[in-house]
Amino acid sequence: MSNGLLPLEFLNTGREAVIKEVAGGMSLRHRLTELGMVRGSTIRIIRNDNFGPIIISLGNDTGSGRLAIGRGMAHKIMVEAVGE
Amino acid sequence: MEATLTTKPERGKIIALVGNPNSGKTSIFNDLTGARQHVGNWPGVTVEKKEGKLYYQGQNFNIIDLPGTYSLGAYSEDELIARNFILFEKPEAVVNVVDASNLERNLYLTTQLLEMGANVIVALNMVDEARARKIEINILRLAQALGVPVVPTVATRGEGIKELVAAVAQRVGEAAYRPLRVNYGTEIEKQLDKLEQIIKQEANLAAKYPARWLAIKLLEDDERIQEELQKEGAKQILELAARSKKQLNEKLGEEAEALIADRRYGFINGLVKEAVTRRQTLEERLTLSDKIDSIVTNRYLGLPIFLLAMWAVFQFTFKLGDPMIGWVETVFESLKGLTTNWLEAGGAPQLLTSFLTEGIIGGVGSVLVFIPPIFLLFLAISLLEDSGYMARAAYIMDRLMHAMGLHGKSFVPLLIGFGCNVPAIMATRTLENRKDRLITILINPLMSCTARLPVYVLFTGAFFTANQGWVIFSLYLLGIVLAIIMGKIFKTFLFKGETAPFVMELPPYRVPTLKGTLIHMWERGSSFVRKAGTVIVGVVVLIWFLSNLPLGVEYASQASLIGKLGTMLAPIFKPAGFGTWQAAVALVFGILAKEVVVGTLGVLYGVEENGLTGAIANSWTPLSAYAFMVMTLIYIPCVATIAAIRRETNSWSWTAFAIGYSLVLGWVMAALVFQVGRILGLG
Repeated sequence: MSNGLLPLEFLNTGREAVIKEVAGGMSLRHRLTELGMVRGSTIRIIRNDNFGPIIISLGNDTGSGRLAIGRGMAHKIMVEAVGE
Repeated sequence: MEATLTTKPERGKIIALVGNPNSGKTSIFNDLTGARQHVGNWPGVTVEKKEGKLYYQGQNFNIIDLPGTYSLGAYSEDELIARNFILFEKPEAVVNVVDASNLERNLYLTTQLLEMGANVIVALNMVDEARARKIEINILRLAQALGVPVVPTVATRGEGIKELVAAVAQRVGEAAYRPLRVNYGTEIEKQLDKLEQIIKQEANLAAKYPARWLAIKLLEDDERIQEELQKEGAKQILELAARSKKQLNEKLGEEAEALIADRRYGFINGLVKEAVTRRQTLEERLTLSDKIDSIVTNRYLGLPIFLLAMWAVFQFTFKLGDPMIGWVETVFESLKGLTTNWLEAGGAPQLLTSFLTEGIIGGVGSVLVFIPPIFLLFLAISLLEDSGYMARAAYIMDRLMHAMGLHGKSFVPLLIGFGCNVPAIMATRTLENRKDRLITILINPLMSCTARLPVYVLFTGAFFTANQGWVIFSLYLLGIVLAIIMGKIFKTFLFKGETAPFVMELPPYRVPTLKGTLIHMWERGSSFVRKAGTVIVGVVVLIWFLSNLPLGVEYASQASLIGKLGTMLAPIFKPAGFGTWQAAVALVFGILAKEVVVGTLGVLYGVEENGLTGAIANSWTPLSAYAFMVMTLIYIPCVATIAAIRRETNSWSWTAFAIGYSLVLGWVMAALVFQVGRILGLG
């Protein structure tokens, strides 16, 4: 598969991706930054039911943090899928 | 002026406690301060302020628990409070609680603290969890890299607390520490240097802020800081900062703010790489929490499980609490009896007896009956919160609450409102967004609490015996629909602007500790009793006076002040179909507690409670009865709820607004019901 940019919202459960860009206002970017979701951070989709918030895990080797992200927000986070 | 010399107790050294939400900060605070805590609000805002005392080797420490935050920007009230406290109150030391199993994110706050020049001691908490996940942290190396003491702790078991206190005590003595310098790269550093030089020339600024920190904030486009500098008249610096940002943008093709965040995380990653080793496979990383979550947050099972949990909370609170309310009532009844006998035997005037028994004892009693359900409910909520389930509940409900323009987290308080609005309003504390919180507080009284039920039962018993259940259900439904509509209206007109994006941490599931849960429950419950108690007793006493004045009138008769008030108000309720002084007085008394409406009507119609149904049936119509029930549902929340609104919004104007809007809405709805009903020929 090609590794183009796509919104986080479209990644299925179990996929891994790297954050490339946040297309949002200052306050959104700030909120994400303080939670550790910055460019280059690796995330893993723990659950995406295609409605409601998405659950992700952050960092390719941190085990514990789980974040629930609203769909509107997940739409603005551009990622590049890793693998497959 | 000659001041009298008093030996003032020495001011305790101020220690601020800072940390991410879910880092175990509360446990550390409890460990440090034990029972010597006290909860208030930060001046002017709704955020809770917790303080506690610690004595160690003859030294007094005041521990200030700052709000849990992920960073020290200025984007939320919490962040600003924490930041301003450290900047301007200059605590002698700052204990930064860090979750060892989630180091990267937690260290973001740490670097910000260090850049501010705070005297930091890191409490590396939950090292047991980290160990269980095969995360090994070289504490010595971490401490060296950060340049501050790092003390491993397991707060829930009290491990490492002694060492932490010792480290704090030692650190307070030697204040020589220097701010951490993250290297932001040649280009940014060049601009930072330039800004720093000019800041240092402004004496008042340099005294207020650490120069390098201020320079970084300027490049980060921190709005608060820009406002502050505007006020200080530091135009030159602002212009220079704008130029610096532009230059950086041209040279590096990026916003300075993003570059700084990148560098900061780069610094943290380097630090973590140096001090942390992980030996875990992907399989192992899918933790037990994830396994539980795959059931609990499942798209089909999530909602039923959540409803079941809420049902259990309700059963626990009200099934267990109801008999206890009975006990409290019994105790106060017998206290009243005893006091009456005792006073009468002593020949006290009748009015004094009535004042002490009905006014004071009755007033205090009306506060204390709330204690059992409130404490039980907070016990249940604390358990759910401390276990980590509450975050999942918010996740599940977010899907539904979105329709109301609210977050998932608002659902729990609304649901609790069906039991009692008082703990429900206090439960809005879980909402970190102030706007969401205010909306949830304002619409909460529309949730028909159990105290309204006796009123419904009385009136439906008089007029709607055939379909009593449905009529009562319609009132509950009306409340919900109105809550949705009002929520939308408030959101659109009062709290305009961007909705805060939904992003929330799902902490790993943990077994709550008994101590933590009890302290949690006690804090919330007792602070209600203390603050609300005074308001409630005050109003009860006031109404007692109104019922007994002028001297010599029959208690709460039409000739008493309250009767006169009722007579005066009665015409207002004419359009709603119940323009009698009795109805008006019942509504005024109903402000005390809505179930009081029933008893008041009993007194006013001069009948015992079982004769009341007949009396009502004679002097009301089904339509006016329904309109009256609608009014009882909506108008002015009860005194305890008003007190809770005042306490939680920390504002008399929002409290007045809540009273005002519900009064108007109640009247409009009642009048609407009555008039439309009449047109339809139901009257």
